[in-house]
Amino acid sequence: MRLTWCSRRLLLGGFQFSCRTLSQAARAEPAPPAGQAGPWHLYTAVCLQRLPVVAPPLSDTERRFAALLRQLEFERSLKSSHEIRHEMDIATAEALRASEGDDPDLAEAASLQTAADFEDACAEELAGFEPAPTITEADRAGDQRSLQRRLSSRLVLVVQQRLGAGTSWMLPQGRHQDGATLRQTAEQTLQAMVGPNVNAQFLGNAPWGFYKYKYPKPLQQESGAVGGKVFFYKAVLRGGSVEPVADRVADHRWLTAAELGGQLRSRYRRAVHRLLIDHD
Amino acid sequence: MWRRTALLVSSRSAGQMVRLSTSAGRPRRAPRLVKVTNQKLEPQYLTPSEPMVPVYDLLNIRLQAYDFAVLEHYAKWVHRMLRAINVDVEDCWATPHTSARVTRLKPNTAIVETSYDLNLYERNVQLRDLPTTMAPVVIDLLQHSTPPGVQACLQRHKSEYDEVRYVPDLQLKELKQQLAEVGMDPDKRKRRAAQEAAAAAAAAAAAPEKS
Repeated sequence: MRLTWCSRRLLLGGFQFSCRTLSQAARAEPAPPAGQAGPWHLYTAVCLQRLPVVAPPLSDTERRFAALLRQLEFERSLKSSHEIRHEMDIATAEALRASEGDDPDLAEAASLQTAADFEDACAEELAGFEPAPTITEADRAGDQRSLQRRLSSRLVLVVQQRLGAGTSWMLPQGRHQDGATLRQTAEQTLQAMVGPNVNAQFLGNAPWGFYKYKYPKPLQQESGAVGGKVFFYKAVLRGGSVEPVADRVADHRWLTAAELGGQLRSRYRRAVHRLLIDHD
Repeated sequence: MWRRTALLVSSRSAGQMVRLSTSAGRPRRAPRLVKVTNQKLEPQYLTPSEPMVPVYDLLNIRLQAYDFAVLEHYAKWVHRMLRAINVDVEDCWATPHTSARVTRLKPNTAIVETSYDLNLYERNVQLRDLPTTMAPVVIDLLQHSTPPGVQACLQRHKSEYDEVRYVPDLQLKELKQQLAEVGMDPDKRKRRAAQEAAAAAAAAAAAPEKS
C-alpha cells in the first residue's frame, strides 16, 4: 500500500493530449490568440464511496492458517468453567447412581440444568438464527445501480454526466466559481448531481487528486480557456438516498475499483485510482 | 540555524490535563528538528519556531468492540501503522470495559428464556500534534481497515477520559459519606480550619468576658 501526501499528488505539466470531453457552462469570452497559454477552467469532482459492509471471505491459505491457530490455541488452553461444570455433572450423576437416590442433595444437584443441556439449548438457538446473506439479490442480478451489491468491497459512484451535446462516464464533476472554496464547490457539486438528500462525509479541505485535460480547438475558441483542471475530493456515504438529477446525469452506477477500469477512460482512470487505497 | 529541541504546543485550554510522555519501555526517538529563534542569540531573519501547518493538540482514536481478541489485535495494528507513517503516537491505553446484560423473556410472560452478559471493551490510541493535512489520511486509513465488530471514533481529548480510568476507592468513599451524614466536612483541611476558627471565636468570647 503506497501512501503519498496530497501535495505530492499534484501533477504539474501532466497530460497534454486533447480529450473529447466538452466543457460545462461555456461562456462567451474573447478567445486568446493561438499559441498563447490561456486560462484554465477549474472543476471539482467527488469520489463518493460506500464502505464495505462485511469482511471479505478468507483465502484458502488464510482459512487453513486460521484453523491451525485455533487448534494450537485449543491444545495449549486450560479447561473452561463450562467443561469443569460438565465434568462435575457427570460425577454427580455417577454418585447419584451409586447412592441409588438416597441423598437429597445429590438429587437436587442433578435436577438442575446440566452443562450438556445448556449446550444443546445454545446450539438450538444458534440453529434458529438466520444471518443476512453476504451474496445478495443484487449480486445475482448484477444490478450495478444497487448499493446492496458486493458487500465486501468498496463501491464508488460513477455517473454518465451530460456535457454539452453528449455524455461521458466520470465521477460527478462541477465547475468552480469565484467566491467559493474548492471544498464548498465539491459539496455543491454532489448535491447538484445526486440530490439534496445524500448524507456524505467529506474527508479534508484539500483535494486528494488532480487531472488536467485540454478542450478541443473549437471549444477553446468558444470558451476562451485552454482546458479544464479537475480536483478530486473524497467522500464517504453515511446515509440518505442517491437520487440522480435527470437534467445533469443520464445514468449512474456503483462500481468496485476493478470495474472502474472498464468504465472510465485510461488516463482519467489512472488519476482516479491514485485516490483509492487498492486492496481489492 | 537548526537546533534540536522538543516541539512545544503553545495553546492549551484550562481544562486539559498535562500529559508527560513517558519513554520507559520504548526506544528513544530522535528529537524533531525545528527552526528556532532566540531573540538575543539568533539573527532576526530566521522565522520563529512554529509548526509548518496547523496541528491538532491531542486526539484520541477510540476503538470499541465486544470481541476482545479482534480489538486487541486491531489496536496494536493501528498503533504500528501510525508509527510507520510518522504520526506522533503519544499514548495507548485500555479503558475499563462496560458490562451489559441482555435478557430475553418468553412472550407475554416474565420467564427468562435466555440472558447474555456482554462486555464492551475499549482501547485508546492518543496522537499528539497531528498535522491537519494528515488528519484526512488517518481517517481514511481507519475507515478502510476497521474489522467487523469494531467501532472506531476520532475525538479530541478531554479530562473525563482520564478520570474514567481510575479505579474508585469505595472504602474511602463510604467513610467520607459517613462523615457527611454526621455533619462534618469530609475534607480534612476544611474540618481543621473550621475547628481552629471555632476555638479562636471561643477564646475571643472568653477574653472580653474576663475583662
